This record gives sequence, structure tokens and C-alpha cells, in this order.
Amino acid sequence: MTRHAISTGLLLCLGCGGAADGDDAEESSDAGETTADPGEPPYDVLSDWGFFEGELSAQQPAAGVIPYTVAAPLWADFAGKGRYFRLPEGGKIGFTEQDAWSFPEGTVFIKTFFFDTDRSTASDAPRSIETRLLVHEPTGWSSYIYLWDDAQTEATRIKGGADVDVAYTDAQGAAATQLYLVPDQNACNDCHARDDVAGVLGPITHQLNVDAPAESAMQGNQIDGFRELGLFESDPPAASSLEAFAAPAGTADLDLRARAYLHGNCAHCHRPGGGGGPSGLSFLAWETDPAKFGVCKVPAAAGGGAGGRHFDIVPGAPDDSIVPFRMRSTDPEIKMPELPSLLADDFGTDLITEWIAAMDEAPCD
Amino acid sequence: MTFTKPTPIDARVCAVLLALASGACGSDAESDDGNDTGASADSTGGSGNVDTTGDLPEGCDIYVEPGPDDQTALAEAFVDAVDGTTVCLGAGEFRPTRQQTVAGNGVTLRGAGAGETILDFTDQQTGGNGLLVKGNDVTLLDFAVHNTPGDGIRADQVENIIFERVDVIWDAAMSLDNGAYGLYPVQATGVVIRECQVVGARDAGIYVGQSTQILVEDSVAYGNVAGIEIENSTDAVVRRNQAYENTAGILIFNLPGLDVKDGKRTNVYDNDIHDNNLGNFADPGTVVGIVPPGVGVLVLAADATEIHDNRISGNDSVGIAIIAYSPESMLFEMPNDPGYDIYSEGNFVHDNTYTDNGNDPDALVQLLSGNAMPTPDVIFDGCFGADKDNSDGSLSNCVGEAESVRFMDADLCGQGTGISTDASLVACTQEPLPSEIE
Repeated sequence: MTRHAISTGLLLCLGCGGAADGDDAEESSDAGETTADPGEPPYDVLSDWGFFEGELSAQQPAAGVIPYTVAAPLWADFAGKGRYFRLPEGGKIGFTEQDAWSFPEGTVFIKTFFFDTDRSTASDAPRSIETRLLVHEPTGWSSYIYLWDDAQTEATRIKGGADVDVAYTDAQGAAATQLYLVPDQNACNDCHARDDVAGVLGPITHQLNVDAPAESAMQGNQIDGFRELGLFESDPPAASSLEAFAAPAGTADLDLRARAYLHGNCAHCHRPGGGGGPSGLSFLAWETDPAKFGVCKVPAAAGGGAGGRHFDIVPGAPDDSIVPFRMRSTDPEIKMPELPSLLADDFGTDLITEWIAAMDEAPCD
Repeated sequence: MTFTKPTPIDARVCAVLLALASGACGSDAESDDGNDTGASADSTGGSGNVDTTGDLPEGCDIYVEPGPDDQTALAEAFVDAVDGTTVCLGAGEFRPTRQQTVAGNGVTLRGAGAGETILDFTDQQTGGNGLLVKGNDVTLLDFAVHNTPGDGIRADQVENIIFERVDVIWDAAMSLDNGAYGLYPVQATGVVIRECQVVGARDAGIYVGQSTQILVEDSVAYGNVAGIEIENSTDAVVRRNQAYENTAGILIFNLPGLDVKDGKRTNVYDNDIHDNNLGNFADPGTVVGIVPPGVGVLVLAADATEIHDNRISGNDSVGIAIIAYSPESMLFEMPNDPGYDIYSEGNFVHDNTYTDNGNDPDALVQLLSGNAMPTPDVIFDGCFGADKDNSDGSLSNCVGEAESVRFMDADLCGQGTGISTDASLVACTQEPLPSEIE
């Protein structure tokens, strides 16, 4: 905690040193200078992108900014996420039934990470912490991260990450804090790059084939809605005929829910070409070879991550399986996913434990 | 190439400012209600100890010194380290709290010396590695990484990675909390590890996995489970290294279940491989966790290895062992990988010097050798793929050692004529490997 205090203090100090007076140095000088030329993207502050209209804190999408959601989201230490994208003028989406859709140069994906600061009541008290952008530039997809100020009036670009102590009221009504890590910009591609090429992860048919989020102007299925808006180069078939991930917390078949969860939380690395590709493990939801998704697979270079276990998944024996062991750990050497979360996802770990327990028992030896 | 606008205040000045003006600057009027997110944002530039202009040391594009917020300073420096940038790290101890990612191509990271510039990761919160290198043509020079919870430096799917005078050290001897791998290039093409040192790895100190075109030379590995491991890799030279006081000195392995299979052609020569008798403190779930203490060199399911002109001494279990990845070797289950060849083939052991090996063998090695005492200097398990065409002898494992060298074919698979200590039966040769990597 001391360390965080020091680092915050140093940032404040630098802000102060740059200001003419020291009186109100904590307020970003950018906040009051809306008429200033923002320069070229990536802008120093989030508001200059023009993604939102009205009060920035409300994050009301401006025209052309489309909210969306995914079926099987990545765990992010209790953070909620607001997701949006903006296509360039006249730009269209290239649809594929499996894996990544293509987006034209000029597309921006926008994701705000927020916390419910009062978990004792049903009503939301969201506080935005960071907004991440993936911008399709001429050279490829680039990542930019904006850190929200305490007043929730602006978010300012940072490159080196930040440690944020999030204060909230817990479910019992008591004051609590949680350390949340905003990643550094280079860490983005630890998840978003495949074969050294950065890209978006969520926008695939399986993930997007669900109803649009409440904040969207669209009703019903998102893919149908995108088609009606004319967003595709050539129209995909009706969403009802396309594959879809089961909601991991839903009521579908356990196997479908577990495989969707593993795809959403693990397959960005654990797939051919991903950061976890050298392990030989693939959690793509459409991988059909059980040995590839871990069943009786020996770990390649797990080090201490194996925890004395010999196989990634032992059917019927979750306690003997490396996968839930690593999901439950918070030790940096052991924990999976490696980045960026600090906390285990109890829901997800329980789901995968249940899934392995339900497999027909079969020793791997 | 663009760089961050320099911060006009350096860390020391800022510290003074903080002390003098904490009332005006440091207090947050809105934090009194306990809702402080700790996230008051400054501009993108500068954690205080990064310099991108000013009095840069010669040859440096970015210079970072240890300061009050090493995490942010290093992360910003690496974000700014676009293609071709040289990042220099000053002398002293940095205390990063997260994995650092080197993403740019052609980046050079240069410290003031492995004993001078130290990145100590004791406080690391996230990331499986201390440094993660993702760019091609990256050169790491003259610094040390200490005490990472996970691996020291991983270079993942890169071309032309150079480690020179880089140390990875865990302070605690044989600790279960030490990370698995020290220097860890994986799926790399073009690897140079030169004059490096790794101490205390809970798996392999210098670990080259699924790579090609590899040179490991003039380096030191001790206090690790495996000193140097070349795994599922092809065309490697391992020379003039010192691998001592590990559980096993040098491992040449091919493991199942990986994308890159069929590792071959590792030339191991002119190394000092001695006193590798450390208790195995690896995680019991790992392959290296199975390796018995007291092993000089172990070849497992790898092909066309040449091991020659090494000095191999004081390894209590065995000098050199060449075995298959098979249940007969009593170490492994039969792998569930149809594309994987379990046999070690075409390996050539010659002109090594052996002294005092096998004098106190581990129980597993005694099983392998039929309780021979001392254990022979060189043991083959004698297993081979019976359905393969070896009419030209290229799949035979060959020995060309002095007559005084004790040899055993353990015939574990029952494919020979029983246990034999007659080296003349394996007195063949294989085509010598190139002594240099092109």
C-alpha cells in the first residue's frame, strides 16, 4: 500500500511541478480547455475522440458508436465492461462464421472497465477506472489506455499502467478496497497478438450471437441488428442459423458452458499462434480433439504451475487436474490466466471443476 | 521514431517537491470520504526516472535509472522502445511489480553490468515472467534479473534473440518458490546465449525450447535442477559452458505433445560438466522433476546429438545417459501423441574425459544399470524403433571413447542380447556436426 501511495504522490507531484500555481494541481489542466486543438490521435484525453455525447461519465454513445456485448466475457477482477465500436465513414465488417471478423482501417473498439462501488444494493453505482481502445491504424491494430480521474469527468492517456485502489461498499455494507491493475500498453498484445499480429478478440460470431445490451438502440439479436444497420460487406445468414456460445452462467448443457468459458478466458493465448501456443494446449471452443484441449495432456513447461499434478485434465478427477489448480491460484507463477487479473474467478473455476468432474472417469496412465 | 516528451523534473527534484509541498500537491480534496481510487492521472509522459533526451549516455535512446516508481518507469520505457531503440538501464536495483514486455523489433536493452544493473522481481504481482520478449532481433546485454516468481526472461516466438552477459539468479538455494526457467527462448529462430549465468532455477536454468539455430556458449549454470536444457530444438551448439552442482548438468530432450517435435543435431562440446548431484527440487508434476540427481548429460528421445570433448566428472549417478521416452526406461508413461518418436537415434558420444562418475548412484539409475557399482560412465537404454530402416546405420547410437571409459547397453527394451558392457558393439561413428551455427 505504501508503494502505491508513493507512486500516486509522484504523479501528483509531477502534475504540480508543471502547473504555474500549486493550488489546484490535482485537476487536470486539460479538463477546462475544451477548445484546445487536440492534435492527432491517439489523443491525450478520451473526450477528444468524440465517442460519447453529453457528460463523459455517462458514456452515452455518439452517433455511429455501437454498443455490443459478448456471450462469454473475460474475467477482470469483478470489473464490469462497457463495449462499443465505431466503424469509419462507409466502412463495412467482413463476416466469417468462425473466428475473427475483419474490420476496416479506421475502426475503433472501445471498452470501459468499471466497478460497482456499492455492492450492498441492487442499484448500480458504477465508477469507471479505465477505457481501453483498439484502433485499426494503417500499420495494424494499436492499443491505447485512458485512466479516469476521480471526478469521472475525463480519462487521460497513460502508457505505463497504473495500480488503482478501488474503494467500494461490500455486500454486507462495509467499506472495502480492492487493488486493480491497469495494464501497461505493451501488455495489451500479450493477449491480443497472435503470430505477432495484434487484433480484436471478442468480435467473432460465437461471441456476438446474443441479444444486444440494454444500452443499445437495437432490440434482439446483435448480428441481426448489425445486418439491419447495413454494417456488413455482405450479409450473413440469419443469426438463428449461426453458431453461438452458451452463456457460461446460463442453463445450457454443462459441456457447452464450460467450453464457451474456456474460449473466452483462455483461448486468446491457448491456441495455435497465441502466447500459450507453445504449450500445445488449445482451448478454442471448436477444438474437437480432447488431447488438444487438455485431456490427459502432459504439461510442456508448467514449472511450478503443475502443482505436483501430471495432466492438464484428468477426466472425472478435477483435483488431479492442472487446469482448475492454476485457475484457482493467485501466485504469479501458477495462476491462469497470467494477465491481467489478480483475483481468481471463483465462478469460472467452479464451472470448470464441475465440468471435469462430470467427465467419465478414466485414468490417464 | 518518436519519443516521449521529456519530463522536465527528475526524480530527485520531485522527491524534494513532494516533501516541501505535500500540502498543496499531495493531498486529494476528494479522498477524505475514502473514495480515493488512487488513480489521479498525469500526462502520458514520465514517471520521473525516464530520460529520453538530455544527457543520454552514448548509444542510448532511452535511459532509466532506479527510482521511486520503477514499475511505471520501466513500462513506459518499453512502450516507447519502438523498433530499433536502445534502452539503457542505469546501475542499481530496480523493483518492478509486473512482467515487463519488450515488444519492439531490433530493441537493445543494455545495463551497466550483470552485477551492477539488477531487476529484482521480489514484489512482482502479475505475469509469468520477469521480462517477456516478443520483438525480433532483440539484444539483451549486461544486466541481471533476480527472484522472479515465475520464469526469468522468456523470448516467445522470436527471431534472432541475443542474451549476452545476462544473469538470472534466485537468491534462495533450492527453494520451492523459485521460478522454473532462467533464460527461456521458446519457438525462436536464432538464439545466442553468451557469457550468461543462471542460478537457482526450479526447472532448467538455460532452457531453449522448440527453437532452431541455437548457440549457448561460455555460460555458467549451477544450483538449478537442470543446468542447460535443449528441448525439441534443432541445430544447436552448446560449448565452453560450465554446468555444475545442478541436479543434472545438460539435458537434450524431445518431449511429446508439443507443436515442434523431432528435435535434432545438438553439438555439445568442450563443456565442463561436474558435480551435478543436487537434490531434485522441481515440481513433481514436471518432466524435469523425474530426472534423478547425479546426471552429467541426459539425452531423451533426441536424435543426432553429438557429445564430444567435454570434461565430465563427479556426477554421482552417471556421466552420460541416452534413453527413449518409454515405460521401459522406468521414468515415463507411454505418451499420448501419435506424431511423436520416443526413440533417441543417431547420437554420437566421443572423446570426452570422465572422472569419478557413478560413485553414488540414485536408485533409479541403479535400476537402469542393474545395480552396477560404480555406474558406467556412459549408459544407453538400448531401445530402438524396430520397424525403422537403419541399413545405413544412421539411426544407431555410437560411442567412440577411450578404452578406459566404462560403457553399458542396458537393453531395457529387450531388443538386444542382454545387458552388455562391450563398447565395441557400439563403436560406430556418425557424421560430425558443424562446430559453428551459421
